[in-house]
Amino acid sequence: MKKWLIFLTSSLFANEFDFDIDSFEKKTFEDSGYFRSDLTLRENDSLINSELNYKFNFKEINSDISTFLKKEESIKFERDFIVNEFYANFGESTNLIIGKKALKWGKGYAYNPIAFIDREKDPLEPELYKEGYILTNLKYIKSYSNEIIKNSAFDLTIIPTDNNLNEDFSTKKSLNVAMKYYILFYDTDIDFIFANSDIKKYGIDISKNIFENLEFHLEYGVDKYSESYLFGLKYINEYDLSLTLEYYKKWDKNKILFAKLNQKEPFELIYSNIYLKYLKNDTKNRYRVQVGFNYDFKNGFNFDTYLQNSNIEDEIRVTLFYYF
Amino acid sequence: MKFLFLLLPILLLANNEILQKVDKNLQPESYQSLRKLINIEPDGTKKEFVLYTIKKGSDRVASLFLSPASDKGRSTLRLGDNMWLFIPTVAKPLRIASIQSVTGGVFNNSDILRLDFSIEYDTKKVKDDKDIYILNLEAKNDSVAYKFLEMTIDKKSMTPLKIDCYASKEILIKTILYSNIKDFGDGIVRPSVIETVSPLQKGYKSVMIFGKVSKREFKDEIFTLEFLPKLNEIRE
Repeated sequence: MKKWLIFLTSSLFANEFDFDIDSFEKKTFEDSGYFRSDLTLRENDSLINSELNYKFNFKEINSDISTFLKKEESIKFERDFIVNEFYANFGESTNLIIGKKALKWGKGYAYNPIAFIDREKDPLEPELYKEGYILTNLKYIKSYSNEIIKNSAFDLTIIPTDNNLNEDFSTKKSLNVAMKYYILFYDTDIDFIFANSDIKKYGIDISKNIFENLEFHLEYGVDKYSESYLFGLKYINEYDLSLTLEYYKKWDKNKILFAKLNQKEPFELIYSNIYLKYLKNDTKNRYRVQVGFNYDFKNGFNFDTYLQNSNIEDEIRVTLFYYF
Repeated sequence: MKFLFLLLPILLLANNEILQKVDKNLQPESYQSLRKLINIEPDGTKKEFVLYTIKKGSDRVASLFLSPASDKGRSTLRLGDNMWLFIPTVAKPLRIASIQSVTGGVFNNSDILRLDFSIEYDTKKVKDDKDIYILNLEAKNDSVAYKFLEMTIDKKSMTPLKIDCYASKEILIKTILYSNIKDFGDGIVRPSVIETVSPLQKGYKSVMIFGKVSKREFKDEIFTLEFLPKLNEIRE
């Protein structure tokens, strides 16, 4: 039996799969990025939007830059250049970041009530939000050998603001402080957050796998005048059908339901997905629903298209990515 | 009869020692590796992934995607039954399940972020057959991806030749074949190629090739959710 197995496997693999490991050794300078171009057709106009994103890492320096070129019907070309991130990063378990960085706190997919020091994202395209603030972040990570708390991390962040620095965070001349304390407690991720900018804010988020294929998360933030919360779950079955469901109340009191249903590799078409996204603002009685398809080619290209129906405007979008 | 009953735990312990020996040969206590994963479609077209992987102890594993460009920078962490995926564009680690696959293809997350077999399975039966052992293994809890394994072990190298993975005693989910034993240095001698096929994905095949495996010590804090986005910084 052993001889049979050795014969079978060695005949299958002899020189068939070469692996040049030298080309994957770490280099002092490494870069990557993508080019994205999308065409959006609406009832009354159309839009072409292109983005060239470039990231590099040189020793302790990290950067993420995007340039945009946009053309709306009857409007001239618009250009934009955004430094999403540019920061120096020092240390391992005690880590210092100085520069522009998006911290992206919170567990929610569509919205994050406790992302006190992040920009708000589009719930239907959260991955397009990349821009951070100029800040200093000190992180201390500690692991424990006990079963109750397996590890913890403490973050102290300072965001300076005035008329010319982080002015979309606050125009007041100030050193804004935010702190986060994370623990992995009985296989549950918990964050406690505090921020002191124009107003003191407190928050907590929790994430846990209730079952192997069902994750539950919640976020809650409160200040002197208002509160914001989010309940969410993510379910996946053995056929790679996943459901993300979130209900949240924003700081501006809008109550929103978000759902995303995704079937990975439908009809045995591997590297593809079909999806349904639904966003309903209960407060303003608005909705958007998208039915889409994407395919990841093997040569760096990715294709995505969706049809959107809403009670404001319908649209069709076709997007092509090229990763390099 | 009473004597046999008393002897049973001792026999099971000895059986688990075979599994522990296999674990020790497959994965050193603390190491780093470079692996290539290839998904092969029925028409022969391939998609490749390259992963830098680190492991410490019996239940801590983390991997960083180095290729393809669309996945570069993604990283995954496993602490026992907990698994997370960090996607740079989403920029916050998401909890994932062992039955999912971060690469698509036949390997699932528990195959890619493999813990020691003896952490997840108990040896229920051992068959001693000339130059091989055949072990029947049963999952210690419901969070494990496969309920039962039948592992064929080469006595000489004490590494697996074949593993049949079952959802129940009758339902075969996949077969994993180990081959091409390679000396990676520093006393690490193990199969360098792992192939898997599944009756549930007819015509598809996935292959994992170990290009480099070396012993390396890591701080416990490297294997935390908070460090996951920075995994690239510890590559050598």
